[in-house]
Amino acid sequence: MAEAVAAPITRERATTVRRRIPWVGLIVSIVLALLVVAGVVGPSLNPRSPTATNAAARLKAPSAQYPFGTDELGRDIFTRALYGLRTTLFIAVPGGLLGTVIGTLLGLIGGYRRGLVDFLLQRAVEIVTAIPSLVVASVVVAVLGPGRVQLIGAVALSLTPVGVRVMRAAALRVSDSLFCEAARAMGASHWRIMFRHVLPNCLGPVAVLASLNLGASIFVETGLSFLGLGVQPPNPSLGNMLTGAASLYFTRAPWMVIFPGLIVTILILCFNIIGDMLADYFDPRLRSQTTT
Amino acid sequence: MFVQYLARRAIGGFLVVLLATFVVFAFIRIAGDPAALIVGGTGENITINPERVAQVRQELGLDKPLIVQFADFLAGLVTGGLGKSYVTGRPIADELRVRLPLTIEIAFLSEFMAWVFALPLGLFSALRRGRFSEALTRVFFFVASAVPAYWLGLLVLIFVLLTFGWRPPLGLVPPTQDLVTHLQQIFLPIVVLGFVLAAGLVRFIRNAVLEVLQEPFIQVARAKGLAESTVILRHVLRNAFAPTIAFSGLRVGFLLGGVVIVETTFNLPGLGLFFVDAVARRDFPVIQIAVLILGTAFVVINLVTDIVCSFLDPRLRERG
Repeated sequence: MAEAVAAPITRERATTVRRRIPWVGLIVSIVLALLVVAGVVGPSLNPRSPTATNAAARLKAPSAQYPFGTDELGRDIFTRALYGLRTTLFIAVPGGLLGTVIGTLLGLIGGYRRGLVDFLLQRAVEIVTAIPSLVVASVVVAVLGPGRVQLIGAVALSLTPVGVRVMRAAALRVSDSLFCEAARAMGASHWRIMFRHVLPNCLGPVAVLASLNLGASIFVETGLSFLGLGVQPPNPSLGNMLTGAASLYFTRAPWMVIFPGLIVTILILCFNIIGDMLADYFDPRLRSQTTT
Repeated sequence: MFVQYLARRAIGGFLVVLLATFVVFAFIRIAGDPAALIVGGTGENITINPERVAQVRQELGLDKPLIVQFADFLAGLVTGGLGKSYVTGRPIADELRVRLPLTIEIAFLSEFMAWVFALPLGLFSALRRGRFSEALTRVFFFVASAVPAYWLGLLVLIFVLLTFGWRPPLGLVPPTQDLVTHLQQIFLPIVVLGFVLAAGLVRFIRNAVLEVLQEPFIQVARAKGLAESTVILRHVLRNAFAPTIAFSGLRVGFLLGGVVIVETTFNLPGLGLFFVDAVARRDFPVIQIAVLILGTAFVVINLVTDIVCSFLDPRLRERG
């Protein structure tokens, strides 16, 4: 017992991890690629309409004709899920990336310049962090309305604080290093040091952040839609398929619930696993200390 | 020293909440026009009667300068008059008296459930290192952190109904009236939210325990012949608790967001559902108060975790 615990963590674990990664990574990437392709081109390849109702085919269980079954209005859930997936991706991906970019830039500026700029940024981050991200996004939607652009902005804003914190920590560390001092000594401008020296050396954390943020943005977007604050019916979104009048029929037709939620879960799972593997790739040492 | 540190944190936290409230307050009034939204909704082809908008604006004091409005809002908070809902016209304070206890209860019990899930699993995987325990925590972590709480909630509801023919009794009953029914209604939501919250917690507990196990004082404790259970309970757990509690404190935003979701999923009339309804109907006074409460909860809980941690780990008191 004691020996097992005292044994160095890194060596033995690093090998097992290295052996496992390609398979998991490969599967996850393929699944994610399939989902993205399905979301982007699927709706145009599928002749059915996501909003066409069919009274004769209400609440049909999954079958060859309706792979995911039909809902209380006889709409094809598979088609709705495809369109919903597209809606979710088209809001969550730009939102997640925008939030990552803004957070990274602000964190870079704060971590590099320090002083008053950093202080003010930190306070701004604290203000947004004090409120749950879903609530931040909801407030934005309440004021600006549930349009696509507004939703992207709401998602991005709710994710920005994480980016600032991650990037600031990385920038603080890197900007202390000798090569930054050397660049400064050679008369490089602040912008040049920030974008040519500090930022490239922080790409590891940023890549991890981007991946985890994409998972989080899907979480926020579908959450908003579930709360009835995101994409408005009759347009399907993976979140709003699980709410509203349809919920009266969920116990009679569980497939109405299972498939949209399963897609959301798989999407988030993929981004989280990729984020985790990126963290592993960029800093295996860090990982053996801080993660499972 | 430490008291000073806490006082500074408290004042800082208070300012953060004040600023957050002001930002939301100003955002509502600058980025949009609450009066127009109340009169006309958001539809593009709705014609808005300008006279009616002006009237609403005056009724709600929206024609005054922003700072004056905010001062009035703060004065209202101090005197206990939280204003009225635009939509129902009911005083917000009356609503909160019923809703806030429920939300606090759900949040507290969900966090408790998260610990019930996470503590044994995290401890087990840290103490019995090996492929199985590692895989178990890993799978648990990824699955629980990817499953949306609302979906899990719906699945559990459907599963329970189809297998046992049971569903939580409708219409929430306060615990003072009928404790058993109340617990039946609240059990599934807290289990679902607890499960989702446990994801990060398991990972954190595992790493915290692993870290403590490497400390020299653990070796000393073993060397002086303490039973392994005593080493774990008295030395490892106690030292792993402080960082874990601090971690939970920082994640309280996640908890509160989860409460909003779970209240909506299970139709529990707490603060979360109040907030969601308010956003859907653009009931701005309610939105403001809800944000204020959530922000205050975040700051207060983090202050409390600071104090708790300082009792668990006296070294933290030195940093003042």
